[in-house]
Amino acid sequence: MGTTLNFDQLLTAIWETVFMTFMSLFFASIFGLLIGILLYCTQSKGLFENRIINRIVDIIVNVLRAIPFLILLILLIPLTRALVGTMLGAKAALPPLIVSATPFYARMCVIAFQEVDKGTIEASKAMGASNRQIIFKVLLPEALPAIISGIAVTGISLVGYTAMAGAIGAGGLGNLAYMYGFARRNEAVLYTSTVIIVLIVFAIQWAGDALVKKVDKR
Amino acid sequence: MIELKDLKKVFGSKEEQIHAVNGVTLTIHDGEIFGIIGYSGAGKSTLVRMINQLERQSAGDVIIDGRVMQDLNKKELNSERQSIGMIFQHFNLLWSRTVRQNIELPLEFAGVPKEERSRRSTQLIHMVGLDGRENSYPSELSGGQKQRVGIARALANNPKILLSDEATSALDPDTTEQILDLLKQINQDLGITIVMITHQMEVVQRICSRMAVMSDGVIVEEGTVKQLFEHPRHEVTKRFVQNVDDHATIEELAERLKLRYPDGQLLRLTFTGNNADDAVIASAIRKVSFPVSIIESNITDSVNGAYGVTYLHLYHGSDEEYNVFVQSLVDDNVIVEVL
Repeated sequence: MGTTLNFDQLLTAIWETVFMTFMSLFFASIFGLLIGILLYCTQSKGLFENRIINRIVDIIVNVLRAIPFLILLILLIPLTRALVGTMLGAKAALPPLIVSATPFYARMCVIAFQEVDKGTIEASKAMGASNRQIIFKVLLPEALPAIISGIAVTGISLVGYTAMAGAIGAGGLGNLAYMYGFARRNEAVLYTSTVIIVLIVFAIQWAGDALVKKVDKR
Repeated sequence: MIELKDLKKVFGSKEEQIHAVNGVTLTIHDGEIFGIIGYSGAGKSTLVRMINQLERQSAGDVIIDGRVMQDLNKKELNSERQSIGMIFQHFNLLWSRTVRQNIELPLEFAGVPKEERSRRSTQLIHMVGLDGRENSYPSELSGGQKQRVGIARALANNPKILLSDEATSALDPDTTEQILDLLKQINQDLGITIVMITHQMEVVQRICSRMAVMSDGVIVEEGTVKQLFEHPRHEVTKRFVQNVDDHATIEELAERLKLRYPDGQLLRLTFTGNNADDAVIASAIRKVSFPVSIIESNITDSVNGAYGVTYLHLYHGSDEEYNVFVQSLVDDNVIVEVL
């Protein structure tokens, strides 16, 4: 049973986890927000009601959310190869992480938008606002706290996914915990990795809560 | 001028249709405060939303100053809407914006430059009496203050029409009066046409000049507030008028009856139970030749005689005859007040 801890290895792993989490969170937030706006606006009685588009996007989002992450990793190997050129390393983990987190976050955005008081949207229409103005000046600012806390929740679940991706070769703390902590029975590595992952999750949660508190004037 | 011509709105599917508005024709003149009163479900909210096309009518025309609203394209409609302000029961303010930012929102929509926006919002904040609260968020305001923000916001683009959808329904009576006074002030100072949707007769009575009574998607009665108050014809109108009387204090009731019966003489009789018999009114009537009508009565019989208050209207009589009548009642231990 090993107990040694390679400090450089640990730092690299932390960096890889942080990189995978925040890069994929960044893209998933943008794509998810856009898809969320699309879903919200095309729904029945929405700003640009469009049943067909709404139905198609809705099905894609549901299917992607239904596929377990580990299977998605394997299914997306061709896509990852085409985009990144390899299927190993932190960069290679980004496409499956983004594809998995985007529909999750899109769904949270739809919920956030649905919580915006319909009355304010009606009032904006009565004031002669265009749909674009309603989205940018009313819908997004009014949904902001939920949009931010959605990013935090998505970020936290992404930390979990990076660990899973790590286990099959993407690097990061998950990889470290699996390869050294589990396979080589190095408990020091196992517990250290775990504690750091928990700390990263706490940090995301804390940052999210602080930001929500700052923007929420309700 | 707002002209509504045979307006209809049907909701629901082919199997189950609800005729929310079922053929309304109405003309609202420039500068008046027009009340549309009705119980919930009467279709009045749908009707007012067709004026600014938040609801598209199923049939009929909405014509504002000669412009047929349903024929406007999106851009034209949005610019037309900027000249129609609207206030709501639940205020519909943006919680993410301060008072000033809320008031500036319609100006932002209209593309008004920043300096002009802030000049205009300062002016409006003063006009609705919210000086000092411009940087507060709606969550820090009372209901009345929120509605003041709503009114300022609705007036930001200098509209010619203000639509009010139950704007006082969520407010307590005192605040309601203040908001109504503010609306009346705005109507007088700016000459804005106001369309008031309400289920509160007091609201119509306090500030409207003309009114329509709505029930089951149609207008059952229309006229000046005075006319409808004095001579309600339709059952629904009568119920609204009656409702006001039920809730009124004695003084308010007297005021209202005086309004309703401007000529002749109004008497308030108070029966305290020691009357010789309960035919006192009949015996007083026998002594005079003019007609007497009982307009309001709330009498409870007891073993000691009748208790309560009755209002009488005397007309086509001389002052001497009135005196004979009053004296007869006084002799029978009735307390008589001439209103």
